[in-house]
Amino acid sequence: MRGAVEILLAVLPLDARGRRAIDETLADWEHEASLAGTALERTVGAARALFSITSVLGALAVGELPAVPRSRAAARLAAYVMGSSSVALPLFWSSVAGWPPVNVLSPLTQLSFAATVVLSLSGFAMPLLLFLSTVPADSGGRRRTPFVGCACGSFVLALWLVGWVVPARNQEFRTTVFQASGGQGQLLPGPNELTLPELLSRQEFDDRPSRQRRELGIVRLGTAVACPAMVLLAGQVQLTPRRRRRLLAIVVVLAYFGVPALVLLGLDGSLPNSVTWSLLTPTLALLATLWLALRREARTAEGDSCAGLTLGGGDGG
Amino acid sequence: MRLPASERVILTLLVDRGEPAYGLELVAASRGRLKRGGIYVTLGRMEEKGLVTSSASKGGRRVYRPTALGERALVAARVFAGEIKLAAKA
Repeated sequence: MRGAVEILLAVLPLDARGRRAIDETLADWEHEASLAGTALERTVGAARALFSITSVLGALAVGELPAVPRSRAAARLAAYVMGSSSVALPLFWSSVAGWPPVNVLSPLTQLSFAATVVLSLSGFAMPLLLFLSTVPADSGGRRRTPFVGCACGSFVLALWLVGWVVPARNQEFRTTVFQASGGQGQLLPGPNELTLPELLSRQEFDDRPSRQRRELGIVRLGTAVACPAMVLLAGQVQLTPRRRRRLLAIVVVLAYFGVPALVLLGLDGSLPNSVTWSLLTPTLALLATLWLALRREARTAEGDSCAGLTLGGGDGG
Repeated sequence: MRLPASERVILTLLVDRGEPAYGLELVAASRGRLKRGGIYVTLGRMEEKGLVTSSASKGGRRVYRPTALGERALVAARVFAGEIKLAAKA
């Protein structure tokens, strides 16, 4: 079990202090396991070690969070979001401006709701934008990309956006258009207007099948999970040699769209496309992250053993 | 130099002990004031500040001892705390 935890922890692009704290906690675990006489003592020791590791990671994430808004990655993400929105917003607005239900709203309200729709659409591109924002190499010094803080922060933010903010704005838009068109009474929320807990619960909210709602819930949850997965992947790509970094970044961007598209083409329809897409992206990102981390670990071990041989040879001579 | 409570506890334990200690030994000796999950993050920060120093031991574990700066920071913190108590009594 300790080996599996060590492999998972190798994925995290921690700074030197964080890596050392994790290594020392793992060494304590090993020490306590060697002293344990019974299976029960080993189990209790493992539980305490896992709790310690979780606490260390929590402390590291909380420690890194204040540095996230000041990081270059945050500035890049803001630039990407503003750049893509400045293109998408006028396009979307111009396409719905003449639509009769929307036409009854004031231009300011139309613009506000168009921004909401762009926000909803960009939610699905957010994992990729996060990857592109965090993957460029650090320039060194104190402006190191706070990967753990970015991963935790992006997960919480994405979960809040796709789980609560976007559904609430969708319902607000529908209600506003409904009332502006002379509709009376209360408008019941559809699947796109339900919050994440409502989508994933088995409770009935409308006449639609509960399976359809849960699939949409999984898509939103998958999007939120994909955000930290892509940040961690960017951290591993950044640790690879410079000449291969750009190639890896291109492969990830292509895989983000290409692999799900290929899988969707080959599917026989047993699993909804949206669910496959949202599940496949974080899974692939995590697998690639793991692969890169293991390769790096193997290289480091190989380098250490080579250094040891050289030193040993020198001493012997 | 500002000395947070956890750093002061660690320095007190190390100085009173008079010999190097592992992180887990400090947690055990602190009687609940230090947590296993935060001890190494705190020790790492203290080492960067120059308050403690460490050396590698067998099995990847490290033993920690206070530096001269750490001992002086603890004395200063104790004097300051004593003055605060006196001021509060007066």
